Amino acid sequence: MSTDDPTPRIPEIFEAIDTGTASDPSLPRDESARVTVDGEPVELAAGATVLDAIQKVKPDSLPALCQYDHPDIGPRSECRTCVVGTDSHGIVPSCSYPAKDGMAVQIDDPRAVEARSVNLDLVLGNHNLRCTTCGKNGRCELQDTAIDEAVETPRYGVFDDRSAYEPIDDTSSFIQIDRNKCILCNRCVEACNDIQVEGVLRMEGSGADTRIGFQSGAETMEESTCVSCGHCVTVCPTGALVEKGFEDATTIPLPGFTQKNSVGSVIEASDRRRRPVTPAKRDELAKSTDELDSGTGSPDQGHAGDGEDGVPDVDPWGGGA
Amino acid sequence: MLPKYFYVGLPRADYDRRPRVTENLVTTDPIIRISAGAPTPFIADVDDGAVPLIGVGSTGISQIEPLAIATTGDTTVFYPQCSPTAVADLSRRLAAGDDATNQAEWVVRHQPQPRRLPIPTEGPLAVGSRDILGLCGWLRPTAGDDYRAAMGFTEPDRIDVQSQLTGLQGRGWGDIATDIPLTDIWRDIQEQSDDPVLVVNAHSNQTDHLLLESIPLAVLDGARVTAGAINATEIIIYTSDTADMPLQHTKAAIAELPRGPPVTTATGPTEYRAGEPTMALEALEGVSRIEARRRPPSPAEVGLNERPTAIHTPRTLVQLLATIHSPDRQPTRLLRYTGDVAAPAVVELPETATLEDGLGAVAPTGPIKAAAVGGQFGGFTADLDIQAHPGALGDADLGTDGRVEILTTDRCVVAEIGRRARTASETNCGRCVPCREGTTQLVGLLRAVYDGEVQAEKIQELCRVMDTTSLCAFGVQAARSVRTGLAGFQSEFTAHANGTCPAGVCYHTTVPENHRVSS
Repeated sequence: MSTDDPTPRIPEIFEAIDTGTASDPSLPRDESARVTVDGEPVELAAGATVLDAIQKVKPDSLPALCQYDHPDIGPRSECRTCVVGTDSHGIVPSCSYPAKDGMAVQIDDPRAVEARSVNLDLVLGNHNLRCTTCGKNGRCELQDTAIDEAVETPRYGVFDDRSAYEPIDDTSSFIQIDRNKCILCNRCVEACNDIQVEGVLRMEGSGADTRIGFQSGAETMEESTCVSCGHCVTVCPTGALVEKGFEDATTIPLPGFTQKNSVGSVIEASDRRRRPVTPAKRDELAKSTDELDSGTGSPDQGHAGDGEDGVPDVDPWGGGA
Repeated sequence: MLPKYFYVGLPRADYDRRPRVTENLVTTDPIIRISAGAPTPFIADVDDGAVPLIGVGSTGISQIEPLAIATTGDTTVFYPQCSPTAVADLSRRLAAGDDATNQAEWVVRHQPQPRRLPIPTEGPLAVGSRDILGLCGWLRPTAGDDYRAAMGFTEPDRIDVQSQLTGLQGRGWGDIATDIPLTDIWRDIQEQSDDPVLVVNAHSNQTDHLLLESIPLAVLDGARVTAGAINATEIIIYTSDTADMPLQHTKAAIAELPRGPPVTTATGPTEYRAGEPTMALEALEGVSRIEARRRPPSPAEVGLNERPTAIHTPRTLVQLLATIHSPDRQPTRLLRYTGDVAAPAVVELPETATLEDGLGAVAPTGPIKAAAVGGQFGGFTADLDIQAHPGALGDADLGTDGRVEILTTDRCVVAEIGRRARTASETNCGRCVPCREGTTQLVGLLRAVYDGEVQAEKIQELCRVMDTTSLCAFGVQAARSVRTGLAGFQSEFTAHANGTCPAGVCYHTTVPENHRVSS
C-alpha cells in the first residue's frame, strides 16, 4: 500500500456495498417517554422502543425472533413475533415502534397474542425442524422460542419436503450455510456489511424465493468474497450459519443419520486452490508474484478463469460468473 | 386556424419541433376532436384542412373510442367508434355548413366555447359526473394553452390549505394519505427541518395512467399546488417503466408549466409492489432489489434520501385541484371498471353513488356474479349496491384503490381467489413473515379446499394476522381478497370441497372422486 496517499479508501467500499435491503429510516431519538405496560408505568430515555419498555417490566416475555441487541443490527422488524396492543396505535411491532409519551401497552391484547402465535408458526412452517441433526440444537433462538411458547405442533406443519430443500453449502472451510433453517432476520447481512464492512452477504430474490446470497453473484460461500470473519455466524439465531467443526457438535447420534444427510444434497468444497479475494490483497499478490516470476504474464489473467489453477471464473466485485 | 398537426403518437423529438400553438382548442370553432387512448394516425389521412381536426386525450371510455367530437357554436355532436371515412364525411359536412346532428350518436346543446367536454344525456359518457374527467377528451394533453383556456394554472401561494382542503383524502394504495386527510400528512412534513420533496406516484394504477396520458397538466398543476402547500423544492413524477404514453405526455407537459419548483420524471420496475409508497422511494433511490421500508417514521418524516416526502397519486392531485377551483363541491371517486367487460372504462362517481351506478359505462360480457373491488387484490362482493365512499367500501371490506373488476357467472370465485393468493405469494417483496410466509400458507390452505377441506377458521385467522401485522399494504390487501371471498361465497368453497365447481371452471370437475389429483 502506498504511503503517499493518507486518505482511507473506506467510502468507496461503502459505495460498492449492495445489501439488497431497504434503507429503513432511523428511529426518532428526540423525546423521552412515560408509558405503561399492562398498567405498570415505565420511564424511558429518548429513542426507546416499545420493546425497551416491555423489557423493563416483563423481560423476555415476547419471542421477538429477529430482534438483536446491537445498535448497528436491526430492527429489521420482519418476523412480527413481538407485536403488542396499544391504546393509541393498535397492534404494533414492539421491536421497532418508538415508545410515545402516554402510550398504554397491552402485551396480552388478544389480537397480538394470536398474531405472535401465528407468525411464530409461519416461521416454523418454513424451517427445517430436524433439530436432532442440527449443530445449533440446544443453542438455537428459534428452538428456545418454540419451547418458551410451548409450541408442540406448529399449525402450518414444518418444512419437511426434502425435494424442496436447498442444498447445504459446505464449500467454505470455516462457515456452513443451511438456508433451510434461515428465518431471513437479516442479522448476518447487517453484521457483514454494517459492522464488518465486508460487503459479502446480501438479501436476494423475492416472495418465497427470498434468500441470503452473495453480492458478487457467486453461488457458493467458497466462490464468494467472504473473508471468514465469522460475524454472520455469531449473530445467526438458527442453524443457518454455523462454524465448521461445530455443524454436528450437538446432533444426537442416531445410526445412519448425520447433519448432512438429513437435508439431502450438499454442495461440497471444490478443493481448488484459491487466490485472495479482496482486490487489495490480490494486487499485493500480483506484485509479489511479478517480482518472483519473471514475465509469464500477470497473475490477474490467471485469476480470470483460465482453469489452470482451478480458480473459478468469478470477478468478486463484478457481479457474477 | 390551428396548425395542422396532431399530438398522438409523435416521437419525443417531434414535440420540440412542433409549431408553437397560438390558439387553444376551447375557443376554436368549428372543430372536430378525435379522442383516443392510442395513436390515431388516420387523422393525417382524412384531414382536408377545411375544419381543424385535432387529436385529444382519451375520455377514459375505451369502448367508444376513437370518438369524433364535433363542435360548432352551441352544438356538440358525438360519433363513437368513428371510421376514417365517417370523420372525413363529418369534416366535409361541417365545412359546408350542413347539419352534423342527424347521424350523430349523441347531440348536446351548450353555451358556445365550452371549457369541458359537453356531457350527453345518455350513453357511457352520461354515467356519473365528469367533474374531473370533463377535461379528458377535450384538450390536447400537452398543450399549455389549452389547459390555460380550460382551467388556468393555479397560483400555489393563493391557496389556504387548511380551510380549502379540510378532510380531503388521498386516493389509492400508492398514496401515503390513502383514506386519511392530506393535511394530516402535510402537518408531519412541515414539522421537519429539511427541504420536503413531492413524489407523484403514478406507478401501477391505470386511472393514474389515464390522467397523465390525457390531462397531465392538471396533474402537474395539482402537484404544484401541493408543493406550494408543503414548501417542497422538488417534484418527481414516478411511473412504471412500461407506462410509455403517460411518461411521454408528462415529459412534454412539464415543458409547458409556468415557473415553479423543478419537475422531473423517473420510472421503476413494472412489478405491482413497486407502487407501494416506500417501495416507490426505494426504486427512486435506484436500488437493485425492491422491498418495503420499515415504518414508523413515515416517509412524511424521513422519505426520499431522508428528506420529508409527500407521496400522492395523480387521482389525489386532480381531486385537490377540483376542490380548490370549486370549494363547495362534493368529492368524487374515479373508478376503473374492468374484468369481464367489452372494454374497460374509467368513471367518475359522486361518493354517494353506488358501484352499480358505474356499470352503465361498460358492457359486461355476461351476467355479473361478483366484483373484486380495490386494487390488484380487491375485496370480493356479489352486491354492487354499495356507495363509492371509502367508509362504505371499508364497511363492506372492499378496497378503495379504484378498481372494480367484474366477474361474470362463468367465473369460479374459488379459482379467482386462489389465483390472487398465488400472485401475492409470488410477487411480494419477501421482507415480513405475515406476507411472505402467510401468502405461501394461504395458497396451501386454498389448495386444500380442492382436496375436500375448507379450513375456514384457519384461513380467517391467518387473514386477520396478515391484516394486523404485515409491514406494508401488500400483505393487508392479499388477505382481503381471500377473506372476502370466503365470507361472501362460502357455498362455492363447500362445493369445491365436495368435488364440484359450480362455474365448471376448475379442472377436477369431470374427474371422479377417487381419481382426484391432489395439488
